[in-house]
Amino acid sequence: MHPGGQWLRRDPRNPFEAVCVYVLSHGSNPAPGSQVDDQQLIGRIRAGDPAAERQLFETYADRIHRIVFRFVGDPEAAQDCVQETFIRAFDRLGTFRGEAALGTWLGSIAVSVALNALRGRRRDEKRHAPWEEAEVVAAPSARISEPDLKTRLHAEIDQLPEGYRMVFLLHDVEGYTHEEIGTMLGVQSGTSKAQLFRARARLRERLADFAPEVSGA
Amino acid sequence: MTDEHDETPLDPRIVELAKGYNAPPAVDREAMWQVIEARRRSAVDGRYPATGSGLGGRRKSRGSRRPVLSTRAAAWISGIAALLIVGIGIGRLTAPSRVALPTREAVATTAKVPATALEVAAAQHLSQAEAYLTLFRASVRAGQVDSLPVAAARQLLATNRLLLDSQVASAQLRPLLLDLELVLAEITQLGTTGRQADVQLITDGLDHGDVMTRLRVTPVRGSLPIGVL
Repeated sequence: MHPGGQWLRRDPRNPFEAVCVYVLSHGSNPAPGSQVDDQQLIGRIRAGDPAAERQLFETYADRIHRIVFRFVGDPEAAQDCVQETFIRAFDRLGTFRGEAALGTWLGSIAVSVALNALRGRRRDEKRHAPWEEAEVVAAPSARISEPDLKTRLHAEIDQLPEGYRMVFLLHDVEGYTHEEIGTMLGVQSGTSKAQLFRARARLRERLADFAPEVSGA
Repeated sequence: MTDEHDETPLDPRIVELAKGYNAPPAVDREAMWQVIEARRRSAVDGRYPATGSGLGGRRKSRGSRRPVLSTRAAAWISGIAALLIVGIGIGRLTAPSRVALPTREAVATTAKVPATALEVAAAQHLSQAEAYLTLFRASVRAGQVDSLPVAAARQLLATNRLLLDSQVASAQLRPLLLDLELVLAEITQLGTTGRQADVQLITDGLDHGDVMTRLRVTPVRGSLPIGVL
């Protein structure tokens, strides 16, 4: 969020017109991201208000960037994904029926875009990676310290099947609910729960060297 | 038996460490917004589509030139395919009575008769494939492989398989059709994001198999086996 709770931006093409993107300190305004605020925002965007588009971007850019960066792990690719997400969102806003929260809807677009980018990159890597690199496995050592645990954990997250990894990152790392994850991934919330369970089980199993602290709850 | 909905969380220390996985850095929103605005403006101007071009700048949206090319090519190829089916039908209707024992008369007849619908379809298929592969090579040189109508390649591939299954595929024509099938299948697999390595493989395949030259010189007339006519 923005420190101070308020910020103004002037449109560089029209310096005399102050475009108030949002004013957090204004008591009568709903909080950004709330249903009411989202409906107003969408209405303004549909009416062709460019400031509203910017407001939507400013409200959700960080959240979307967090999601896509968790998946793709590359700053440039993540920025591409965020841009693509918002361009698609503006193009498709007419189809948004408000069944999910706007942020969740944007998240579903972001997940789709990030997955495409990720799959494309993996195809490239697979094609160009030498054989010996494919056989690199993190060997468990007898005595493992905290940095090793972190490295191993991150490597194991990398190794999780795509569905497990996404649900794990969205739920345990980013704090989304199963309902929100279900909407983003286009699956039932029960599927999300099952994927999370399996992801955790896989991590516990793979990090068993670090027992007892890892395998237990 | 495991409970699929066991919601026992991981150890908090693990969750904390997991938060360092692909931890998002600070993001330059202003720069991103400028790119978004520029791409949307360009899309409105009709220079290039907004969506799709940001991820490596290679993908084009479905609203661009591709449908025009695809529709035109698809119409041509659909016509050829229809002609081919008619040809195969005629061929199959007439084949059984003469295939068993070829005679001198039959050979003589083969040499004299005008081209059948099957031959015409085969000839058209080869010329269509040649045109498409020429377009493919030009696109590779221009670095615009993604603008190729992949639907046309699929249609060509379907026609190619029909020809391979038909009796028009003689000893001369069959190897060419097999090579062509491989190339067309690879092109259809390129999808919307033509990768350089795949494109290079296809180009190498075209060169090593001398496909283009064979497309131009392989005779279709007279390639029908004895008894088809």
